[in-house]
Amino acid sequence: MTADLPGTSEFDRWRRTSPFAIVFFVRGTIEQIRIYGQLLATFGLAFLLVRARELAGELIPVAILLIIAVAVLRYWFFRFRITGDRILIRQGVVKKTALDLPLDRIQAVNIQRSLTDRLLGLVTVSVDTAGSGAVEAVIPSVKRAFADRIRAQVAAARRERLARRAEADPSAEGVAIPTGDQRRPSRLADEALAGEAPDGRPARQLATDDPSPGEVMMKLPPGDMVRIGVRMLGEGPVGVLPLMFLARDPRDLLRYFAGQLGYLEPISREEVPHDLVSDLAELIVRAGFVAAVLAFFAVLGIYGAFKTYFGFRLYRTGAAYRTRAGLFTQHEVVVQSVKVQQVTLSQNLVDRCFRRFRMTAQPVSDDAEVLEVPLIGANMAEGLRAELFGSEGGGLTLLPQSRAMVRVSAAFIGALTVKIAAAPALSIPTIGLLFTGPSAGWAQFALIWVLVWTLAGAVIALQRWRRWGYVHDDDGIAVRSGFVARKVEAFLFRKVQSATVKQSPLQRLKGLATLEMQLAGESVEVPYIDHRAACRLRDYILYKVESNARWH
Amino acid sequence: MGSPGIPDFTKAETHNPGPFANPEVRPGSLPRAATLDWQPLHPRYAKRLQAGALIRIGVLAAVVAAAHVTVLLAGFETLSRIAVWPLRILWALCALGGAWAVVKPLIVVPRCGYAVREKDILYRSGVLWRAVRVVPFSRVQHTRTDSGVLDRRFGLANLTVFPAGAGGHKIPGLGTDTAENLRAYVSERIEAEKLEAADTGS
Repeated sequence: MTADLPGTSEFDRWRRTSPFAIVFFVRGTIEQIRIYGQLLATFGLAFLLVRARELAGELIPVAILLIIAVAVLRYWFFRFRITGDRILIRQGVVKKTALDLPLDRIQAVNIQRSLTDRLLGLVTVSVDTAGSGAVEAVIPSVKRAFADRIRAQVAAARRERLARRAEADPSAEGVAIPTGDQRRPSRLADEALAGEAPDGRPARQLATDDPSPGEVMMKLPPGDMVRIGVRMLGEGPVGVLPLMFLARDPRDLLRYFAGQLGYLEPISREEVPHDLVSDLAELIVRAGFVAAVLAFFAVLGIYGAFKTYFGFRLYRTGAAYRTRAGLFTQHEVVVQSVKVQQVTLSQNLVDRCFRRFRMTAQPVSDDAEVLEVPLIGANMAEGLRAELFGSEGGGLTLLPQSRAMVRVSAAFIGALTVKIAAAPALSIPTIGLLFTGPSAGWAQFALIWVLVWTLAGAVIALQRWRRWGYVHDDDGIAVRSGFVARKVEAFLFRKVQSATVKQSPLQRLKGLATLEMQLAGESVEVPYIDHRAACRLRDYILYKVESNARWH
Repeated sequence: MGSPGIPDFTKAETHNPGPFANPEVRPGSLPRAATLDWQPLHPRYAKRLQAGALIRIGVLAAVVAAAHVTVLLAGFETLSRIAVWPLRILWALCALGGAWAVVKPLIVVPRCGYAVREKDILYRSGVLWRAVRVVPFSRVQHTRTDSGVLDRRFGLANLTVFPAGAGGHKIPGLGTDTAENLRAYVSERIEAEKLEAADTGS
């Protein structure tokens, strides 16, 4: 199958990457010696400046030359090759490393284009493999054709495997490729095509600087960069606002309360000089200060947004989804819908004002790159979720405001309140008791202290409880959580790796339980649901897992 | 593989799931974790935990004793006066820790257990905060048995099964033979599941 693909010979011999990859290796070398560099910075630099200032002029160029020399050596010893069924990489100057990646273990082929790469029309390819702690191969500054070649070959290997299986067992679920008509592939074969050229064009035609990577599903105009940048403030505005209402000098406030409780000599409010005009003036100054702080971070955020997401585009080729974005370094991530473990939609306070969300799709391994759509509307998000899940999970929703969401038991509020408040509410008065002994002042303080903490705990717990929710259908589940921000994680039951039912003493008393579902990426919890329901759902998940071996 | 026993849910239920209402599954088709006879951990595991904890407490006690002797011999009056209470607290901690080290395993170990079924392996743990974890064989990537110095001394081994993604699930305190047999069984099951997966197309 791979033999008929064009250009096999071009990469089927030991090659070095472009000499411009030296830039990449310089960066890598600096990254590697940074830890030592920090030590040098603290001790060596001080030594240089104090003792041997004249040496610095020689040592620094020598160090730079050394780094470049190491980078050149590393470039020289870095060789790669694609054979019929694997990628081979040999690298290392002193410690030789041989990386041997079978194509069918490759989960994703991602592309980064640094500024030098883009000027020269080159790409840096990184290959994700399955499994945790997996080796990731990075091949810097190669021709675009190389990436296309790997993708095509990975897809071909997969297609071949599927075809073999279909041949061996024509009744196999989902792989029934009509034998007479190879040009109408089934959904799975369609997935196999993922990452290959659209319309079945041979990969070589794609080997231009910027080939068409498929159908554009969405793009973000520069205006949205501003939105993303402001979004990066997150809950910041809420955090900064109290600055406005802080006392002139926090120590005054502390002394005032301490005085009231009899711990210190009391001071009266009158001793703190103030009048209406100066108060007003100060309020304005503070408001200005808060606005300036927010503006500063907003500008930083907007710069970051432009840098990372400028020209964001989401493409679809078959069942592969591809994002491409970046101002200087262009980053490209390809994720196939079969590989997606869970889909997450999150919305913080700023997003909520814009009525937008951030969406991510986590592929198989947790160190693989995540497909991220930084700004997405509700309809588009639901559409993309439906596409990623295919025919399954029709009853799920990603929207946190959805009425389908079922709340967890209200016992959660009490439990979380106790969890938050118990330690601080009890410990500080106890310590106080040890030092001062029981007194009226202590009792008053302890009462207020416990009340304040309980109240704060209850408010936080109530808000957390309001966020928790879930909705499930026969195929999957969507779980909503959050505090100020909202997040919905959705996945299909057959993607679950292991399931745990947990019960705290309180939960046992009330017949409740927490269900934890571990996925390849991360685990998702549904707290405080009926114990029997949790067990039933757990058993159902196991049943789905066991009756459906496909999870990546 | 066809789809034997896949429940026939109506779409109406799909959109209004209620609190995990999940009916219409044929009773025989579902694996049930509730009615299982749990295998206890090896009886020596409690002793092994006691030994481990006592060794740690012993090291702590040695440090405290060294500090105490130093304070007494150093001859600084203020220092020995200040150090009285901290030293008493540390000694009390050692005593409490020692008692806890003896008692805790006796409470915890009998309440832990594992169960192996045709399709998955279960481990339950916890006294107050209880958990039952299930790992289906079809998702296990690899397995590992290990035993530290103390484990070997007590003739014990730990079995860890690794699904994809985050770290493995450990079943501690198995007899060496049990652990090895279990590992062999799990590996066998993984292979069987892989073959099945190959049939259905992974």
